Amino acid sequence: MLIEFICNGKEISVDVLAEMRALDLIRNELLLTGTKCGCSKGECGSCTILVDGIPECSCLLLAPKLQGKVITTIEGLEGADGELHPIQQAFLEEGAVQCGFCTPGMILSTKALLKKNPAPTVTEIEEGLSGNICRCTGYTKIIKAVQFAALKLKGSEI
Amino acid sequence: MQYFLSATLNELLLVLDSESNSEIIAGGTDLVIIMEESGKRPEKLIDITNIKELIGIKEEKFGISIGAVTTIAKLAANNSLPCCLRSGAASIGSPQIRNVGTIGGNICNASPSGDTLTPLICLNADLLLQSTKGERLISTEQFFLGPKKTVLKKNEVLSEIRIGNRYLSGSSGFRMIGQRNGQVISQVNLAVWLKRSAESGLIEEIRIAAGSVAPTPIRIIEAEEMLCGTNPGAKLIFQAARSVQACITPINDVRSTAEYRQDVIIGLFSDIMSQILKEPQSC
Repeated sequence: MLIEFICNGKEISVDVLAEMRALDLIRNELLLTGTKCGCSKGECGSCTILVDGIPECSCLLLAPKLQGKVITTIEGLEGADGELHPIQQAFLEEGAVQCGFCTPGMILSTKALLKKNPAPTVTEIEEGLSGNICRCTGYTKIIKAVQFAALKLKGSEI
Repeated sequence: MQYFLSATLNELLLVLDSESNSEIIAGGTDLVIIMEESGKRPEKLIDITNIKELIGIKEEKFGISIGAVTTIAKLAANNSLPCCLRSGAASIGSPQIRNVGTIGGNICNASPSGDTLTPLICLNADLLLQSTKGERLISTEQFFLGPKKTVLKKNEVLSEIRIGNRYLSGSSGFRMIGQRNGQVISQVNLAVWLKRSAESGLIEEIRIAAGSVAPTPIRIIEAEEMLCGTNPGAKLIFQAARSVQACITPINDVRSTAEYRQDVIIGLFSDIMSQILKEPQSC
């Protein structure tokens, strides 16, 4: 079936099998491999994308559900000149990345969190990122990075 | 496999009537995992998430109506809903799952551990089932037949969940225990609703429901009867907790042992009761 949607600002029109997962479409057809395939059960959050601004697990999303939607993957955060998004910059500067597998999902969940709540408390950050599992960092630096990103983004459009 | 996006309830009912090997998909957070793991596909998936009539929480004369396609995140954030239902919704999965999963999906998936099921049973919620032949209203308590089994017929859809005014008043609470705080399926969950007499302060009516401790979520009428008409202290609450424990028939499974479930339900029940009695507005 033919589906049409917007991905990272670009109009996409693609023929998919109805049972294809959005994750496989994004990685294998659109070749956007920043979205990771972890558990395939909606538990680890490494496949998180934003659908109309809301974080969702692309492993649980069938491709037909993207029809008419606006989605953002980690590649969509890149600025016009290829510069990093302030949230990415904050993760880098705080050293919140170790193996990096969870990072795209963490950053997209952070983006959705800060849009809803520009100055979250630690508890609110923990809650906002509770669908993203990191097995390296112990989360301390990730939480610091989110706080730093909130500072960097204060007053600006997220 | 075909994929059909249904636009209206009428259209959906017609399609359900004419297609035998079809399956309804709402958020898909359970169904997609089942499809991936089993490799099985229905001939046709009918997506109901675009049907506006099935989305949203509305105040009605009888109480509150919740459209079956309302997301779990919307339930958790809606202050007009009773505490037990909001807490149950908030304890499901992760933000990503709650943004997509629906209350109708949680009900129709009929997992014994579904975290909105015990709240709906203790709130005496009714489920509206519709087909081209008409509609029927069934109490949540009567809806479940076993794990993943319900009274829903192949040509029917759960369209609406109704909570009456009586159960919107009173106080309620929900507790679940899992292997950690986020992202887990309940090892045991428990919901309590009660109403106290304005004059005497005695419990006028109480409903207790437990999940993940039997093939379906169950009501614990014995404990309700012990507490009705009382102003319970710690001793009576403990006795009622013992009767909750006696009524459940948990099994050993991947998440927990039967023995642990028997033990932990005592603490869960005492916690909910003290929260409801001491801080009814705390939720």
